[in-house]
This record gives sequence, C-alpha cells and structure tokens, in this order.
Amino acid sequence: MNERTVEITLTGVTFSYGPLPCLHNLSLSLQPGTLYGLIGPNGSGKSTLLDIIGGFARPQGGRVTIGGRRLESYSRGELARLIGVVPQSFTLNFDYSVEHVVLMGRYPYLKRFSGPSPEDLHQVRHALELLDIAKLAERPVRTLSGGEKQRVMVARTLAQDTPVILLDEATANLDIKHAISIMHIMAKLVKNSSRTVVAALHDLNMACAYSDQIIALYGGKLVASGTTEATISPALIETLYQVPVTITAGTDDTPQTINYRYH
Amino acid sequence: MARISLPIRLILLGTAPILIIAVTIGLGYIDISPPDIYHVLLARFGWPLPDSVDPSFSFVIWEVRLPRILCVAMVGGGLAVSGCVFQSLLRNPLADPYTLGISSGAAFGASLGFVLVLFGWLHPDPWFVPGFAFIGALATLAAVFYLTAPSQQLSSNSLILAGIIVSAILSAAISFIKFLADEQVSAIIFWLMGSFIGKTWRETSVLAGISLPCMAVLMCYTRELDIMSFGERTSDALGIETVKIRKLLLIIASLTTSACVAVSGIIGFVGLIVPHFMRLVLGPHNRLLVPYSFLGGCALLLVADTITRVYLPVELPIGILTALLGGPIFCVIFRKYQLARWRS
Repeated sequence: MNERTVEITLTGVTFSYGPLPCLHNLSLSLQPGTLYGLIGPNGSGKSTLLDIIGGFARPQGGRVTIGGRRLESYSRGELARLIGVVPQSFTLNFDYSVEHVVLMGRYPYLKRFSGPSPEDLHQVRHALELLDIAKLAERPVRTLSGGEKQRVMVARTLAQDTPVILLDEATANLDIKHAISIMHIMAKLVKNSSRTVVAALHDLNMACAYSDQIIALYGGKLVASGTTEATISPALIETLYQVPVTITAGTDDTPQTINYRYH
Repeated sequence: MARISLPIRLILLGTAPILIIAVTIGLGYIDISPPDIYHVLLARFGWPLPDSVDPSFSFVIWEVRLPRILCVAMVGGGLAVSGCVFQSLLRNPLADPYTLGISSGAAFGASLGFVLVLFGWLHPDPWFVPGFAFIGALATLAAVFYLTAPSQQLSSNSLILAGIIVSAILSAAISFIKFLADEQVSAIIFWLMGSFIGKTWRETSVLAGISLPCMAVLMCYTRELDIMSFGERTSDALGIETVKIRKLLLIIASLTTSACVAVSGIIGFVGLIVPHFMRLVLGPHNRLLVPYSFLGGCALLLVADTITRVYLPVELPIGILTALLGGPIFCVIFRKYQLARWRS
C-alpha cells in the first residue's frame, strides 16, 4: 500500500472556457489524511476544479503546486503515480475483462517491455476484493451494469495506488449500498494511509457522513470551506442550491443530516 | 472457439499464412510440385538444381510468384494492422485504414498521375502512379490533422469528421479526373479496385522498408492502444501522453496504409474485418491483435489473390474478392457472436 503523502496547494487559480469564467481566484490547500467533500450546484466549477488538480486543464491564472512542485513540471507519468481519478462514467467499445481493466491501473508502474509484477497482480486482486467484484474478474466490462462498471473504475483507481484520489461524482450512478461502500473504502484509505481524497458529491448527506472537510463552490467561486460540522449550514445550502433545508445535528454514531423541504 | 485453447489458436493462426505461402508458390499457370519448389529455393543458396527440375521454374518462382506473394502478404498484413490501430485510436469498431480519407487521397494522387501521363505532361514511368498515390495519401493525412489542429486534442470524432469532409472533396476531384480521362477511365478504375499484377521485388522491398519498421513501432505501443480505447481522459489519468502518442500512432498507421495503397491500389474490407475476426478469436488485447491481425491480413489477401491469379479465367480486381470472401464469413461470425452475447 502507498505510504506517500502529498500536499496540494492552489493559489489564485482562475480558469475559463472561452469567455465563460469557470473558476475565479480560487485558493485552497489540500492536506494528506483528509477526505474533502466538494459540493455546489451544477456548473459551479466542481469538475473543472478536479480537472485542474488532476492536471487535465491548465489554469489561465494562479498556480497549483503538488508536494511543493509546480503542477506543470510533472510529466503525465509522474502525475499518474500521484493522482488517481474516478470518472462519473465511461464508454468502452471493446470486450476487455474486469481484471484487465483493473490491471490497467498499474500502467504507470509498468516498464515498456515487461509484464505485471507479483506486486501489480497483488494490487489488482486486493482492489477487486475490496470492491466486491472478484467474482466478475473474467466478465467483459461491457456486459456489466452501470453500478458494476463504476465499481470497476474505482477498483482500477485503487490499483493505481496513488496518494491522491479524485472522485468526479463517482457514486452518482450507484445504488445506496454501493455508494456507501465506496465512500467507506475512501474514508478508510484516508484514515489508514493518509491519502487525500477529493470527492465531488451531489448527495449532501453523503458529503456530511464521510467528508472531513467541505469545499463549497458557487459560480466558480469558493463560498465556504472548513470542517464539515462547522461549514454545513442551512444558509450555505440555500445559497448554493436555493432550496430551504433543516439540519439535524449529528451524534457520535450518526452524522448530521440535511432534510430537504420538498415543494 | 472457446473449446480451442488460446495457445493452440495462436499456433494455428500463426502458421496459416506460412502454409498458404508454401502452397500458393506452386499454384499458377504452371503448376510446380512441392519437391520442385524445394529444389528451386535451395538452388538459390548454391545447391545444385537436379536435372529433373525445369530451369524456368527458378525464374517463375523467384521473379514472378515470390515477389507478388510477399507483396500481397505485406499489403494484407499492413492494412489489417492499420485497421486494428485505427479502431483502437478512434475508439470506433467501424473504423478502418481508410477512415481518415487516406484511400481517397491515394486515389486522387494516382488518378492525377494517370492523367498527367495521359496528357503527355509527364513521361511514363512505373513509379509515377504509386509515387503520386503515396504523396496524395500523406497530403490527405496532413489536411485532416490541419483541420482538427485548433482543438489540439485530435479527438476521434473530429478526426473522423475531418476525414469524411476531405474524402468527399477528393471523391469529387477523382470524378472530375475520370471525366477528363474519358476513354482511358478504365485504367484508373482498375487501379482504384486494387491489383497485384506484375509486382516485382522493387515494390515488395519498398513496401517492406516502410511497413515493417512501422509494425515494429506499433508493437511497442500495444499497451497504450488498449488504454486509449477508453478515451483520452482515462489514458491521461493513467499517465499516457495521449495527444502525442495518438498523433505518432496515427502517422505510423497512415504511413503503412499509404505504402500499401500506393503499391496495390485500394483494397477494402481487409482492414475492417481482420481485426474484428481476430478480436473475436483472441480477445481485445492489442498485444496479440496487432501481430495476429498482420498474419490474418496476410492470409486473407493471399487466399483472395490466389483465387484471382489461379482459379479465375481473368484477374478480377482483388478488392472485389476480399469483400466477397471476407464479408459473408464475417457476417456468420458476427451473427454467432451477437447470439452468444445475447444469450449470456
């Protein structure tokens, strides 16, 4: 298991698609051993922020550093050993088996002309078992349900064994059992091996249950950040989503709960 | 197919083209028996040719059949490998070596070469048509890259769309050239449908010089091809310099296709069905698909060429035969595969 930890810092990051501003002067520090819940309405800049942290989009202003080094100075291979990404969905036109797709997560560690090492195979088996998909190992991914496919993607990212994991609404297509199971695995990784997990979430109760810290975006701006208990409030949720809510305070056993007022 | 183990499948598929070459050397207007072929081949390396063997066999085998057969094998293999690479890179099972308009570019170049010779603006030379075809194919690839360049991503949809646009323009230009060629149009049409008549060691060695190094490069990137079939975001996230490698592999596959088309004309279907067939038999991994598509392409085109060369009263354009031979076989396999998937 990965014991490396890295700190990610964003300073005055600005990004726009053409004339449309997406992120405006955003500064953040992401610490190891923390699960960040990234919340905000559609179009608030959550995916763009994850794109910038993952090195898929280059900010037009400000700077991003990972482990004290500027993001642009990393090669794609180096970044792949530091940051794993679980996308919201994917399409595949060929019949790769579940095991092979998870093994692709080991690509950043493979030498060009050599096959997977025992360590690579161990990581793959471990990820398959953790996600409860070992019995599907031989099945072509194309024949799986949406939820099973998403678990394969998470398993591939776990096999990638990176200190930072970005979840881009990765639990959106999952039933509640598997969504909870994935967030539980992420929380364990954060606690046991000091990973940094940034999860863009639409399910605010899931965000409350698993996030150590909340990052709230609205219109490309950071409107709130801090510990979950201190940050989540009816006023914040109303600002973000224009939906009135009440919040039931959490106890030692249960997290705080957001109750929506349905019209 | 699952009843035959993978190693046996690999051995069967790997030996098929060698066996086909061994058989087809003896077939033709003059039938040459296997022992005579054996003696003629050995004689080339200094062994004495027995008196019982007709000395003209040496010329037939070494100067007529072998260059043609090897040329056919390399074109078939090259087109199939290019098809395999294009399908993975463009994430589209319907892609083939001609998806980016390379065939149209080659056809335009060849047609231009024909009319320039026809109108007396160029002195006839056997290299004009293939040379123009090769340049036409590469110029088309450059045009497709130019059209998709502003997005800087070389996305599969943009590439396919640019290929369709360029192909449409070139098709109109080819029609105009055919109109200009008037009564000579049949020569252009015959070239466009593909043929291996009169291929010599010259074409074969040029083709080998281009396509074999390209094959070697493609073999180095089979793992990346697998990952890139998941899309750019996934391959970026796994540490692949996607745009750079996609561009490199597109150029390499297009170079192979251009060389094949320049030598043989446009032979359809091989680049589409062989990778599909191999995917059904061997699975989706490019580590096996790339080399075995090469062997499969060799085998299919050799069979088609032997039928047109040996068994038909006149040499049909080989493109017609590959589609007639490969198409129905592929339909049967595809149908079985769909049924199996539906049942599972």
